[in-house]
Amino acid sequence: MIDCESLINDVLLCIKKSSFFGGIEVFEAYRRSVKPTLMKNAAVAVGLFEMSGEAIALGENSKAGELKIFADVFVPFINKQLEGIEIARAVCSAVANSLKPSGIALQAPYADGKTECMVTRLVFSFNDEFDLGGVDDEGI
Amino acid sequence: MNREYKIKKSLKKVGREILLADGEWTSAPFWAVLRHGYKKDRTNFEAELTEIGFVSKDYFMYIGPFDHDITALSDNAIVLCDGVRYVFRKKERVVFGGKTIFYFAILKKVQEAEND
Repeated sequence: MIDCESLINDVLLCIKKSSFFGGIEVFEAYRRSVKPTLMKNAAVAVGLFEMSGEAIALGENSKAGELKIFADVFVPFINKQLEGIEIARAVCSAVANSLKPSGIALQAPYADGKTECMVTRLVFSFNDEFDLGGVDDEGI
Repeated sequence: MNREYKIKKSLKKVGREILLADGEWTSAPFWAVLRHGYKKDRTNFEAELTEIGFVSKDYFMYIGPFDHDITALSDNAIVLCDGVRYVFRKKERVVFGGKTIFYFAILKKVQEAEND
């Protein structure tokens, strides 16, 4: 069962647990705060990439399908010591070992002029029945 | 009076008092023009939301006197004006008749992290 409400938090927690991410900021994507112009350290932003599901059987209310979570690794242009691929590998092993995703995709790094960073995107896929949270109104 | 001195005198009339800093070194205050780039591109003042937070697009044009060679500064050099820091994105020497008459640059306003 995939807990849709907590999956992003679960991914964040298992990345933060790894000692590799000591000097690297890990947070939920699209946070409403200012990105410092002179970013010194790398950052990992985690967010919902895609979700698709359908009823597991005719007449059933439960949904099953695929939920994808992205983890974008941002390495500032000025930082010549860190490599996005190395960080992406560490993110991969942290998530794969604890959450056992059904699929992992790594996109080629690209230079993002807006954030002045090299960005490497990882996408984790999870396939199972969805727990969408909220109150179950079947009995009403 | 030479052209470069005329420009320097004019900068004192229309410019703002600024400082240059590069590592440990800081210049004496001098006068230069800093002009916001939104007059060239009206969207430049609007921050854009990215995965890692709001990114500022505050670009400024710099015109400074001939006796402050900004092209000799490192990539980490900053401009300080009214307590605000700016970083260089482009630096150019403007030459006329074989002499440097002023320096031109494009600056980006530095946004600090909220917990700094």
